[in-house]
Amino acid sequence: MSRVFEKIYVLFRMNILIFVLLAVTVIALFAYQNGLDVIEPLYLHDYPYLMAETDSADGGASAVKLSRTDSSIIVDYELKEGYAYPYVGVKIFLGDGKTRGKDLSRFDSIFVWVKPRGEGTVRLYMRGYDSTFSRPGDETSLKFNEIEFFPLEETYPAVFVPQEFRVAGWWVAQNEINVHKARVDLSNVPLIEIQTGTNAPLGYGTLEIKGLCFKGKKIEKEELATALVALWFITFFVILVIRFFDYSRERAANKKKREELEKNLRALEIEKSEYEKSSKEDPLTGCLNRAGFSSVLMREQENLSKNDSPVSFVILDIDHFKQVNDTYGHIVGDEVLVNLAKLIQSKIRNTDALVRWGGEEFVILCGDTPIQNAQFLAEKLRMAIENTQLIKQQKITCSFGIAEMIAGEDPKRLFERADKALYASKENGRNRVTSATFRHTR
Amino acid sequence: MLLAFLILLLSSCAKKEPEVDFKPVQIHWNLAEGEDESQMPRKDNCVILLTGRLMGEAPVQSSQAGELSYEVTISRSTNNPETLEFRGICADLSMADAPECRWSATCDADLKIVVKFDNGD
Repeated sequence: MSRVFEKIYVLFRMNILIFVLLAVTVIALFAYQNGLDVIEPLYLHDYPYLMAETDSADGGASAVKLSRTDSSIIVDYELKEGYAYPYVGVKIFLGDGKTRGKDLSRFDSIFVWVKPRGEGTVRLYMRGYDSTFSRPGDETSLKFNEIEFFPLEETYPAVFVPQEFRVAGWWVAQNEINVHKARVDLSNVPLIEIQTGTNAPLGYGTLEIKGLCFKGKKIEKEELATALVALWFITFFVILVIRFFDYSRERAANKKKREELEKNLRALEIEKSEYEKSSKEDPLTGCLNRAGFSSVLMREQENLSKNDSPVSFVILDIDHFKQVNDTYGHIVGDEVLVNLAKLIQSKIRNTDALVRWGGEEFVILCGDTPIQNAQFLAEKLRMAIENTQLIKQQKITCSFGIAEMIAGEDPKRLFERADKALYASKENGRNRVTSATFRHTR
Repeated sequence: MLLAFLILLLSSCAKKEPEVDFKPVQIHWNLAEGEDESQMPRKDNCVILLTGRLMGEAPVQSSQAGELSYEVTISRSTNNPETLEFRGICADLSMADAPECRWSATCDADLKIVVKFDNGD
């Protein structure tokens, strides 16, 4: 069973990896879309670091009174003439309240529960500290990231995204801030101010502020994208490595298989050539047999017809061979055949073919040899055989018949002529050479 | 008529085997008395060339005998030892008067062969 799983694993592991990767990606995106939220509420009813503020610092005469309930703070105020833009509000300190505040840049939504008891807008300032232009201890140098809105009468909070904030133009001008620094920055907010707005009417009014809430994601979109891209990259790298090892293993296996096949092929070729050789060879003497002779004859015929190269045919027969067999037995007879073949092989050229024609008859096919040369060769062989002790029991002689091949002639006729010449040698007393001279009658 | 012509045409165009007349010939080479083979460096070449030449000679080709067998004597010329002299006679003495049965030949240092049939006209 486990083997089946192993096979399935081997077959599909790449697909499994890709499937897992896709699943992780989808789950991650889904989780990001529908979860992974970070919510940080800031309820003011029990928040200690806050204080009321009025325009008295700017020369105004407005008055304010701050009180707490179980769920909110109540800001009762009276806006009076004095300062050109009379206001009151609440300062909420974050962090140390001066230089090290809270990083709100990772939140994508800001909820504000402000319930007015009067008319007019409300201003929300996210005051940012930036060491390049902010001066420690000087609140006016904190950047004015502001938004002004009409609070709702209902209990629902007003919701803002950081992109809706802007930096107050008067503050930029007053502090001569570089344009590149004059954009909204919520990365270090030590102070939040909630004030009455620009159009707040003079007189009494109340703001009920429940608090603020910051909502963001545990990881940022860029971080998620980077993580997913890294995951895909690593996975494909792993796949690549696995593929590489698979390929190496496969290549080694293929190489081994190919080597085995080549080895088998070589063995088969050797076997084939040995078989072919043995099928064309006489097993006793090692000479060609008739099957082997056919291919040599065809080659020589072609040579004759194409190049007009003469081909001669020498047939020889051991004299009184039957008598040798009958007297000394077949083993001695075989010895004669073997020794005779060896002797002839040693006397003829490599290009000549020695064939055991059958029984005690041999044929020598001499390429590029006219009849007179074949006759000379036969005479030499005859004398060599006569003068060699092929077997110790008695002297062996041979009779020869020679014929030259004529272009276009049926090989049967050639054999016929050589055979007749051999017959003449036998008839005239054996141990002699007879050539079949020829002339064209037509 | 047309059919006969076609048959004649086809038969004349057909590839035919050459018709060959052949005669078994034996040549037995013997050194003359007192001759030494080692003194005849060109003997083998002369024998081969003479064999070929003899087989092609008209008296041999047109011999009435079923087969021919020659006894050939080889000797060096007394005038020029480099030239070999061959004398051939038929082994069958009953044919001794036939034109092809008695011949003499020479083979000089340049392997030039001259054959003369002595029973000829």
